[in-house]
Amino acid sequence: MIMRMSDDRSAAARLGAANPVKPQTLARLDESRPQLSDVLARADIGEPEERSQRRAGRVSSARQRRNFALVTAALLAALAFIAAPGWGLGFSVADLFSGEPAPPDVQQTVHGADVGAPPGMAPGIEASETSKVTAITLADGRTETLWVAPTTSGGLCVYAQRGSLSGGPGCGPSKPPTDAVDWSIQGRAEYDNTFVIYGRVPDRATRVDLSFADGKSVPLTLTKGFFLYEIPPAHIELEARPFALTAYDDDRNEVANTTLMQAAVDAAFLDAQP
Amino acid sequence: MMDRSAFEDLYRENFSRVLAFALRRTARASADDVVATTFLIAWRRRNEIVGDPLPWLLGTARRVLANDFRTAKRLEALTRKMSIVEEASPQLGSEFEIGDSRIAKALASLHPRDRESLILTAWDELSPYEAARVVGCSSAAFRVRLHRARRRFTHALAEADADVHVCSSRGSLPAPEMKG
Repeated sequence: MIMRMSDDRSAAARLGAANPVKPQTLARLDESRPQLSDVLARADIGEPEERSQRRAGRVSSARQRRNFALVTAALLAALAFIAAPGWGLGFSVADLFSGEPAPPDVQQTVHGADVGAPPGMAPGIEASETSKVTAITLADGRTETLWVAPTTSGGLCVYAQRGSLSGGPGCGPSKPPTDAVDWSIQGRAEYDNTFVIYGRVPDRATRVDLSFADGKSVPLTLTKGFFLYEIPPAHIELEARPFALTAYDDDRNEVANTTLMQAAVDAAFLDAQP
Repeated sequence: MMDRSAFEDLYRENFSRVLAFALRRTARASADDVVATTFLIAWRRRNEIVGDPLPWLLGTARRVLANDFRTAKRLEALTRKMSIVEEASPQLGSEFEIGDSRIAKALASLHPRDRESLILTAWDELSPYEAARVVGCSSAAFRVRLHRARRRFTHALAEADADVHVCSSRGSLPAPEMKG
């Protein structure tokens, strides 16, 4: 196919016209600008004198950093609640909390999502009920654990814990998805370059396969409807990244097939080192 | 040291550009969070911001977006933005979504680096110099990258257009296809 310069210009013009946030909408976006003090207060940071007045100097910088992560997690959790069409403790959910109870430090981290959340936005996590769903040994010998905790409003919080690197739980409906596989990729290239994918399958699924862009696939271990899997370095390569999750029932009928679009996976793996 | 007043000016002058940057890459609710986190980091590291703060802020927002891709909600949001699988989704065409499915398809077929180069210049309206600061490469390297990205995008768009024409003649939409 021969491309001309006019084709380039035409394509550029069409790309510009497809901008999902047009420059002329910037002024309207500005109307939603919160007060800077509110933004800074979210993480309980401000100028030292303000901070000392507010907290009487009792919060260490480490605590501030933790609070920042926890508040962010709380906000995400609250947003997940808002987005949820409805929730309630289903029959199968009760079984989720029959696993090994979480140790105090994990409970504290889970509880932290409620601490410092803006008024009315705390998910109300029952941290003392936090239970282990599954755990895996990572390639470097560390352990990654998937914890779940109920909320007072019938929701469910999921916390993928890898030592002290993990931020906090994400919360949402307690019911499993019905026609899709929920998934998240956890990892930060600049910390340890270790990535896991975890999530949940529909109730009737008894098997889930993760397929990669290079055509390979691997069955994931399901525990109480959840999976947790370390993505091997070979599959951090662009051409071999996670591509889709397919869930099956006992008769190998497909229950759900969720394509992980590469544009989304790109963002999760930004700066990852294969 | 940049004082509170100067930082408030920086915040006021750059807020909408940072929010727009985030909105082009994730859902509204997540975008607000990304913006807040970006300015929190900027506040803590305000002494490192020299010259035009926008590329620094967008570079920070870019990393916040990458690091915070923990929840399925956020991933789903970006998926919708770039999705060709969901071509028929009513989400497309709504506010802050890519309205032209052929553009979305052509973008989705590109290498992530090409995609980012195009979006930074065409949608975020950054100069090659500014965009180079956002992604952390030299201006010259970014210009080369952008030139190649434009060529590939033109080609991909022509293919996307051709697909539609072929399928229109068959009276149906093409089967969704995903390229890694």
